[in-house]
Amino acid sequence: MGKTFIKKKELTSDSKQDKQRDSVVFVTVSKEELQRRRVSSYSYLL
Amino acid sequence: MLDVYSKNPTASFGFVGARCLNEEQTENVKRFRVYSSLMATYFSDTLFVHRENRKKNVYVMINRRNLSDNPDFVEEMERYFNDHYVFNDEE
Repeated sequence: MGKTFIKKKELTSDSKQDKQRDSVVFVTVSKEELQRRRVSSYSYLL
Repeated sequence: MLDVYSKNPTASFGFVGARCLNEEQTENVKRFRVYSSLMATYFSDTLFVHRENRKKNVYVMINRRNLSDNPDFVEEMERYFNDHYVFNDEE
């Protein structure tokens, strides 16, 4: 159904080359940005 | 998530926001934005470091206990995603 948006890679020599193209790097969400995004009327669960 | 955390207090969490069928944009998609807001609402940054990649619609909450035990955890996790997933690949 539909298109595959995320698929599990098989670890082949080709996929090791592909991983450089699809490199994932994370950035930290700042405290200020977290406060901006949250719905303040709800309490933290953790 | 609460159940997992109650059984494993060092658990970290993450998700990938899939694009809706009729959604044209591939970055910072609706599902990712909604889930990110939920994470910010219900999980403080006291126990978890919130990190994201909007281009790939990936969000992770890294348990701070993991970081103290394993300072390389973030790099290991990024390597895992790079090794195991192809993002926004259309067939």
